[in-house]
Amino acid sequence: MSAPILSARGLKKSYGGVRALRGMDIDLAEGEIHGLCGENGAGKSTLVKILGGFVMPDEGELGIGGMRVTLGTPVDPALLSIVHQELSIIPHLSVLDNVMLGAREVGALYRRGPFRAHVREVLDSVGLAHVPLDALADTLPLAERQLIEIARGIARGARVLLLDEPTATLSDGEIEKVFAVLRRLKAEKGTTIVIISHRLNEIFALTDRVTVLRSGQHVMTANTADLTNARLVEAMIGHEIHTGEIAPSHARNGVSPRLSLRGWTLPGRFAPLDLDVQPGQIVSLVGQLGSGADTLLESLVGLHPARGTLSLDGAASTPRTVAEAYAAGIAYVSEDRAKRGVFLEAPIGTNLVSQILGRVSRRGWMMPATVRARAAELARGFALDPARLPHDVSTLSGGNQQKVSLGKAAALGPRLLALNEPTRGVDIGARAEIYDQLRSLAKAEGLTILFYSTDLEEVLDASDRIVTFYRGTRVRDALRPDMDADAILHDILHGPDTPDTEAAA
Amino acid sequence: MSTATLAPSSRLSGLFAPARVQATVIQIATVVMFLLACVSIDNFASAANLSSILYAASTVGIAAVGLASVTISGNLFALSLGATAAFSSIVFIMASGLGVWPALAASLLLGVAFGALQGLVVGWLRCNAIISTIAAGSLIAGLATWVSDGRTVLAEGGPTWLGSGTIVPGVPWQAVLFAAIVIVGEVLMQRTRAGWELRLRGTNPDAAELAGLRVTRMVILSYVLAGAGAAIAGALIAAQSGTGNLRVGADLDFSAIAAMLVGGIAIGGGRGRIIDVASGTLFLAVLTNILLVNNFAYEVQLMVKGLAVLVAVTAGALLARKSR
Repeated sequence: MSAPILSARGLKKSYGGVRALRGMDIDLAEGEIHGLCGENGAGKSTLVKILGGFVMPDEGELGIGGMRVTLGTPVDPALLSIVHQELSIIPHLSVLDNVMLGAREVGALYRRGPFRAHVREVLDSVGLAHVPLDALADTLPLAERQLIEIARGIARGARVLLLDEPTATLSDGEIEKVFAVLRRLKAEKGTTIVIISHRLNEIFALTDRVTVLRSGQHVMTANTADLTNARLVEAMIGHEIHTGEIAPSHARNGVSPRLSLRGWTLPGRFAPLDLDVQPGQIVSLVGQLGSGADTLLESLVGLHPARGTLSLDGAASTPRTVAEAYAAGIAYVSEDRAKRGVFLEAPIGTNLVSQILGRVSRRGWMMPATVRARAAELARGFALDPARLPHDVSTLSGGNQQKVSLGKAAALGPRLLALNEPTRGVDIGARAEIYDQLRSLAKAEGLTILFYSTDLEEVLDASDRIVTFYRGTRVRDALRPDMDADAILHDILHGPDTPDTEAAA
Repeated sequence: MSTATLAPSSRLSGLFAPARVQATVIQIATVVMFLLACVSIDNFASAANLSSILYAASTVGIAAVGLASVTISGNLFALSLGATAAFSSIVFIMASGLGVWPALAASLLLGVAFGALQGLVVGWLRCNAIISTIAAGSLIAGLATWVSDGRTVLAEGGPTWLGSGTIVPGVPWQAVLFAAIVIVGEVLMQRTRAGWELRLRGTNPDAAELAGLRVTRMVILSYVLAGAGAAIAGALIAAQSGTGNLRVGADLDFSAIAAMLVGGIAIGGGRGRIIDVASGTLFLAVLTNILLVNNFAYEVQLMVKGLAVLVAVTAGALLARKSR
């Protein structure tokens, strides 16, 4: 290997008593795609912040392109550019302005003229040739906004491009688009790309080498080709784990359906649909953003005014509001954990009972003993530490926050649980615990679970049955053993082969 | 908000946790300042001076407790409290011929009605909380002017127990009423389902909505409480002076906000308790009184009050950043 383009030695950083990084070394080769893996809290974000110069490490040194970099001050974007997890695209500015945002070449007066040709060229190179420079950013789909952010890094001539979970909010088709751009960048410009992702299939699909972090320490760096999925997971969590895959409980004959949809439709979003789901079945609805699969899921709890009939155990009950849905026995978990899923600034215990306040109170007065008992019971069910119940949810890791979000919905004791992105941004250990709990709820209580996910790995791991969608229409409805990743991708990217493809189940 | 149901492992560390530290510091500061003033300022501890502190604290405090329900539920401030108090003072005096209780009831009814109106606009129609209450304030002030013809209305008959009576020397009945409202408010907020829903709505309105909480009802309730608090404050001021006019409650909006924020209610909603409002009110009342008996001018008092609020919001912002 020639001299590394980026070389960090002995990076240490503590926040109060918490040691986020305990002596991290990393070398990046010129023109490679390098994956950065680790569970939540492993130190990935801290490392990124130090490399970008946003955080001053307690110890260590960093060289980029053979030059020693001053730590703790924003690094020259021509050396290293970071594409952050949260999009930093200003929606009501033009594409051109978004690419030029924060560029050093822009003087006190911003004259767009001189930059147009250059930005055009950069946009073409990231596959945005069809996007006009003056289009407003918020008119573009999410994937293209993500590409604009990558274009911003390229426009600065960055030699190292660091992407922090660039695909967290993208659907699989869009991810493929972004990846194609990254591969071309590497091939044509020799850009070094670092990518952080929770989705291991992405790591395997894209990277040349992988570095694993655990508890703030470097665990290993290896060629991706030499790794297996199991080996990588083991390195991340420090011990072996059985992945969420469990023998699916197959459809049973002669059992009346828990959920029945007849002519269920939201004009413009998804076409009329008939669907029957048995008690205890876990069904994933799969489709790209805009396929209608997520809207369908949300419509089950009255978040969209869908038409048609929805029956639970044979009794028609079409909920028009979430409160009606909950009362009818349909619970929902939002994909946006921080904004809508949990009360971050309220105690874990309060969160867990927040949807059953009526049941833990009498005549309007809360019953503290009942609250405590119920919260502790839910915490145990979702592998949360009961001793932490009085602490705010914001003190938990993302994975545990998601367990709270699931626990407060499960508290309702629903007959049907609708989950939107059940484990987005959740590390692999917590993910397995969540799947276990869902599986045991489905088994023991006959709970029917419907979930929407853009994560293929999750779809294949967690469901008994998979329903694929393309542009508002169901493409296929099949049991898990009859489906694989290729089939799903084909369905959600290209739709049915012939207009008449019939539902398989 | 944990203490009611889930006691923290250590009471002492709970008092100084980031979420509670401001409230605790103000409580301690109030006591220390009060004791220092008692020993170092002549006549500070006299019955006359103590009751003047309590008169000032009671009216502002009752309005602040009502306002706190709006802030805790996540709607920042209601800026119609002064106007409501003014109208209420006029109604109280006009009805005072019927006796203290009917007059108080009339004031309360007025506050509840205007509070409900604002609650409907903000909670049901989802209009901007600040703009709606400023507009409501203007509407209420206009109505009050129309009803009173812009003149001061005078009470018939002499002073009443509510206006100048004391339970023991130095402790007016108004202060007893204030204490009762604080205790009832604290218990309701911490122990009832509605209190929980109100506070949860404040920490995260979107999550509260999606959790199926009775969000609209809670918002309306919070404005009803704010209107009621302001109306009682106006009635008490009217009872003290035997007059009702538009100048009553002229700086009530800011005084109530100040008391609440200094006490440790988070502007963003969800955090803070009703007892914090009481300690913030007493802190400012004692501080203002110390300035007053030392002959500092009104402008100095204003500046100190402004400064106290600035310090409180700065502390709040820093603590919020720290706990992130």
